[in-house]
Amino acid sequence: MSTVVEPPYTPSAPARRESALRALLRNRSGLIGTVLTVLVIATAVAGSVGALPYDPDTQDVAAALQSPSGAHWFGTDQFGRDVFSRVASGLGSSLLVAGVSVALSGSLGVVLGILAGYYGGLLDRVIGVLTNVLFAFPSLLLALTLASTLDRSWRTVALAIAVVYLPIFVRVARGPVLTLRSADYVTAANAIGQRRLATLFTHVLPNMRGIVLVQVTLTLSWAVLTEASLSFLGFGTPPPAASLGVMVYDARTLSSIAPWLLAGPGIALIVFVIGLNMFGAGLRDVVDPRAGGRR
Amino acid sequence: MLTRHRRTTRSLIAAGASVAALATATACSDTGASAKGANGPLVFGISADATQLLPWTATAVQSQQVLGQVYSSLLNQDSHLAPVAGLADLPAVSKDGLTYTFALKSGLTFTDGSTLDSTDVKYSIDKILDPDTNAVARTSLSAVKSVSAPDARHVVIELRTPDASLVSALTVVNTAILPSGKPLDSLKTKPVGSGPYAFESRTPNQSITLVRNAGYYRGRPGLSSLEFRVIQDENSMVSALRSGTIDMAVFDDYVTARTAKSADVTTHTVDQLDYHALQLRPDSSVFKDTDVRLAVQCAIDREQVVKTAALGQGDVAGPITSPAYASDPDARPCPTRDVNAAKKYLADAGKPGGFTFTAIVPQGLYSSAADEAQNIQAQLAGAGITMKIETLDSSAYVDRWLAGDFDAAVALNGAGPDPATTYTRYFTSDGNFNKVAGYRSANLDKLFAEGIATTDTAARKAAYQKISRELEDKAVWIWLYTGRSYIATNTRVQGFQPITDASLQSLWETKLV
Amino acid sequence: MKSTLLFLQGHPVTRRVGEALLTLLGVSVLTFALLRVLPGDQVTASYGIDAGDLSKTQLAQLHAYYGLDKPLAEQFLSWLNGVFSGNLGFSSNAGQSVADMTAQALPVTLELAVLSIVLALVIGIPGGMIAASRPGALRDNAAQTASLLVLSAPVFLTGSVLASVLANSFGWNPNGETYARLTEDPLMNIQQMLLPALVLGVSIASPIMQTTRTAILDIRGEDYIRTARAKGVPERALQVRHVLRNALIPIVTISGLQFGFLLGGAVVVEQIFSLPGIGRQVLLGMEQKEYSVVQSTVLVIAVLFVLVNLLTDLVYRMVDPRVWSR
Repeated sequence: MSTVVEPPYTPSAPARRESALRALLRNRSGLIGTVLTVLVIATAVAGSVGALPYDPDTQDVAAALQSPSGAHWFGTDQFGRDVFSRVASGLGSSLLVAGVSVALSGSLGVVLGILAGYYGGLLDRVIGVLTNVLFAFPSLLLALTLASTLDRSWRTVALAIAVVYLPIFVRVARGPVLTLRSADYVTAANAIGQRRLATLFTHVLPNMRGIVLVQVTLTLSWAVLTEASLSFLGFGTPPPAASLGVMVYDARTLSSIAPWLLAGPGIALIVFVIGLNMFGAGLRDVVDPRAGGRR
Repeated sequence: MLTRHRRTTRSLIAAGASVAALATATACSDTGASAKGANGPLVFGISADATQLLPWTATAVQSQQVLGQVYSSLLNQDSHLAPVAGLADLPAVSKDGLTYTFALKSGLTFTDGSTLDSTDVKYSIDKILDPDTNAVARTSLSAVKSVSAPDARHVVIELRTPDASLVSALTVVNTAILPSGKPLDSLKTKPVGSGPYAFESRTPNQSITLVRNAGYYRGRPGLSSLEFRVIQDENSMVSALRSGTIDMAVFDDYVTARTAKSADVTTHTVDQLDYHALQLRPDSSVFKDTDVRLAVQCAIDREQVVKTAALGQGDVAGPITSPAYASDPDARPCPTRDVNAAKKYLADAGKPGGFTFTAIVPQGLYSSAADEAQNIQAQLAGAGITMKIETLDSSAYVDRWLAGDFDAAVALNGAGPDPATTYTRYFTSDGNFNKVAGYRSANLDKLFAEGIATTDTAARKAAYQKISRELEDKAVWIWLYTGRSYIATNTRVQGFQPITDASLQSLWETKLV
Repeated sequence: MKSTLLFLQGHPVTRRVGEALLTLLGVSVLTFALLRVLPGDQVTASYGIDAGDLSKTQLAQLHAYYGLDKPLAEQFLSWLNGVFSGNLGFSSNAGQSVADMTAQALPVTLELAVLSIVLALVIGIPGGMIAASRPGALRDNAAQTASLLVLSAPVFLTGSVLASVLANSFGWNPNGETYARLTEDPLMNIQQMLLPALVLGVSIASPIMQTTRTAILDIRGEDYIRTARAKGVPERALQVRHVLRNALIPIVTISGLQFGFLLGGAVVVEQIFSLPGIGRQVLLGMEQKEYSVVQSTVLVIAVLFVLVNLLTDLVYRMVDPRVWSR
């Protein structure tokens, strides 16, 4: 289930330049979110540089289906693989898929949104219709179809998710541009002869950095969940590479005899998403104090 | 049964239900029981709708399960899957093996009241053979030259060449007898057969209701009505069983079946005939060398595959799984894993450093495919062989598989009681699936011809053992194991006989108490 | 191209209608294209590997039977033509016309969506008001945390946990029974709808709560509220008549959006609770490669989505007439 949260927008005064990071860490959800997210990223990085207790793909049938212990923190699966190491490397692949998809949909969506909002007219309408088409198409079905049409790999999954979240970024970027277009400094820039396109990227884009950043964080958390849902449907990252969604899917049938198979990746998934959501909430408070923690 | 592709639903739901399964206390049944009369309806859970209501073209397990109750075939199977009398007695076969004479039982009727006689049998077999019908059993009846009905109770089938597998082919629902007076199109939505239960109604994707056929030729069916209810998710199926809303279901998964068990639910374990295999294609450039294939054969411990992919719930098997003709799995080269032998074969093939190939693996066809692939991959790596896994959506997999567009495939293939029906299509040079199998030899063609030339079981068995030997000595495919099915029933269900392959042939005698 | 798109620049009303029609056409083309790129077709989907036993002639004949032998453009136009004359196609698997199937499935999904949105509003609006009543206080934090947790727990998890626990521990499993229509057996129907609506409702309550809270805080800072309070308008009347009424605009927007998503997005919940809704109809159509089922059903979902958006827009404009000028 995806929800479009369009944060209310007010152009922030360019003067206020307190360190954003410090403000974020002073905010409670921002702090918790940052800690959780950093923790997750650290684990994922550890996984990708091989700093894990075990190789995530190496099988040791003699050690199959062991419950959590000092040697195997999250237990082992039916192949004797270490669940903790697989969760760590699974976090990495979830992060990769989510990151690439949001980078794609974010950059393309923002550019389209700015163009639509700034030039208006026919271009705006055409982009609007294309956005509506993607909105009106049931999102999980869209991702599922895309993922099964192309080659089975994490790139395909990322692309499918990117298409699903593209329209949100178009809308998020278009709104503020409408307001900014008539802002004094933009009119002034145009008046002193700067080219319109240049104005767009030198004045309009920097001013919507905050709002886009918030949307990016929120979309990241949805992308992680969408990747998991796709994996449940059998369209996720192919084996033997670990992916949180696939791990939870595989654990489903075995969980009555080996609950740790579900617990490890399941908890990691939820912590990951909570972290991203809190980080996003904190960021929103910093970027737009009216929306959140007004005291 | 020719081929069955199990339609397992890709369950969306995954995690949740199993978390909850941990929390299961004792099941207090019986919300549904009070509403039910003493002998019906019995509610049978199926995981996908039975969408194909014409028995001749029904390929999905669910359709075959439902239609098996609505229709009758010329012959039936006993509990060892051997052919026995059905609508007709076992046939009288001429000395040359070319003429089969069937005597129909007397007083046979369809559930619409019309009589079932030799006209309907001749009509049905002729229609199955007619290419326009697109019947799936057409190939298994391909030896039939003509069908005649000398009188109302006798049917004579003339063959072009002797075919001992004919009687077995006439026991399945794909060769069911249909009323000649009804247009086929009307039967597609409202089946009319001569089985123990008559079709009453269908709500697509929800349920199919059958009622007792009082005129059933084998006796009075045990239930007043029988409902097949579609519950897509396995975990929801378990909940429905435990809460008593359904009375019976068949599972392929050991842990799921275990979860279903309770004070009110018993499960019976039965063997499957379908076999799990790693199909190598000797026609492909990677596997054209026998030594390369033998290296793969020797590098795999099948017990370990069973242990990891099926949690030990299966039996290591050779090519032929039918109890009457079963291959001896210990007779193959490297019956146990032998990495040194594998390396020696690799050296003989001129690939001492190993090699790389890609295996296609289906997703959504059956649950153990990905696990089998991963374990085989890990085991082969130990012998220096790199297997790449290419996971495919079920329809993409079927497309590639049928086109023979692969080097190796992880597969669960259907097998029947008669090895001729199971393997002729793959390993005879003019078989419809020879391109898929990727292997043929003059010797095999000769042996397959011998196998159906006589009805003498001992002679047939000798032929199939030789076939089995060649297939494994040449490591044409890597045969792995056969799995198990679990039939779960409410304790109110009485008189059901669990037999191999989870056949529902005794469902007609089953009662609710 | 340009001349056909001219209506997009006309009066706001014609413009909206034109955009809506274009959107629907776009959805149809996208659905059609995606389906044709998917591997396999209805022949392989229904025959499985037994398709290998079919001869070339037989395959050609089956393709003709399913209308797959015609050029793609012709297939699309003949489907579109059917839609305009009220023929949404026929499903050989269900043995029914797609129109009949939709007539049975749509009420299920609509009922579920309405119940869920009502539940979400009943939970979300008071929740948001409570949170906004004292920003930063314990109650605000509690409400915020609860909504965050709900937002982070996927529905397929909460849904199936709830269903299994109730079925296995309490023997209450209404969704294991055959689906009962509201008009036939309302008591059973409500039992079957209860859990799915609850699961969806709670998950949508979260964004509604957030929106309510933000909107109330925004409006409370506005001058006219301060003026009203200074004039001595009683606090309760002030909250309801002035603050909540004005906060309704964003709440209506987000509810409309969520309702639209529920129409096609309830697939997962329909699947868990065996509800024969429209999402499952699309999913099954895709599995069985019944092109006309998928095309027509997705179109129906899109039409509803567009209608709900138009309606939201209308309500929006009624509450805040300034929007017309945009």
